[in-house]
Amino acid sequence: MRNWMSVVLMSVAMAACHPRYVPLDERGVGGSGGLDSIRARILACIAARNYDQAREYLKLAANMADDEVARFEQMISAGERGLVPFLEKALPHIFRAKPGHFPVETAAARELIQVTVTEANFVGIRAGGSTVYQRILDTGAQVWVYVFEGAIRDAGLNAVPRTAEQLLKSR
Amino acid sequence: MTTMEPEQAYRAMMTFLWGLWDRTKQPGELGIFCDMCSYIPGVGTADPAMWYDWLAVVKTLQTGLPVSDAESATLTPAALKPLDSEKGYIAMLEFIREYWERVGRPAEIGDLLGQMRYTPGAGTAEPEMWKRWLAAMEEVRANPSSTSNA
Repeated sequence: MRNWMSVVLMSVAMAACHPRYVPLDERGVGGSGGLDSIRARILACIAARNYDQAREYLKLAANMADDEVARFEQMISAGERGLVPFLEKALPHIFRAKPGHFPVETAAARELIQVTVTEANFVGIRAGGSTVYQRILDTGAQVWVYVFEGAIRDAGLNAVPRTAEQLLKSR
Repeated sequence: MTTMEPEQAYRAMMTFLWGLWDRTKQPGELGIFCDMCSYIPGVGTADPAMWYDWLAVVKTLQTGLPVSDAESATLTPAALKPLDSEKGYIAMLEFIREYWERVGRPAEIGDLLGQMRYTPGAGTAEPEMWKRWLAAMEEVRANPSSTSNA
């Protein structure tokens, strides 16, 4: 009976975990075997909003590079703050050494993009359905972000800011 | 044979893609892709990188050599040759395919690539696609007002 109740309680607890992040099978986690497992667990915890557990797993990742640890810490923090997440599959498109983009996925770049997605920075909705946000940094550069169905699909940094009209013009 | 400058071919591609999107106007992967690729003459593409991705695809098609990210950022249309209708179509296919690969192969774009598949001598998997491409090129030729980008 007690075992049966445990199963029920576990099921209720799992159902209550409303994912804030794209499901695990939507993500790319490459790398070595042990770290892969830890990465997957951290992402699963973030998806389940279990941020304390995510931090515990991050502590186990002794061999993880400092920049990757910083990225995971930023992901956990962003989740805690309820920031709009990235669609993990879009990351190779968002972070690349091309004009208008952040060349590398760093914690700082992720943070700059995610904190741009606020009501105050809303520009409008493009013809294809992407919601556009922008803000001007102290450097004068413009962070731009496309959001679709609750996830960041594209983003970057314009050295020369574009007007709202230019950010929304489709054809 | 009529040819188009790379910028005209890009505009024809966008006319083609928006035309496909207009069939349903359902928000989804094609709509997002069109949003990113939207082109404003004199300004560039909505996602600035898409323009350089296009130029890199055209250069690779014309030279057979891969183009690095660093090199693509320095490309200009003037450095490239005009494209005929077939080469323009193949460049479009490759441009879409590269994006599809980069973002984890979304099914909607994959289906579109399947319909657009091109076999020299046989045409496109979905015959309507080639007709749409020719119509898009004609539309751009009929409306050549545009300034060179980047």
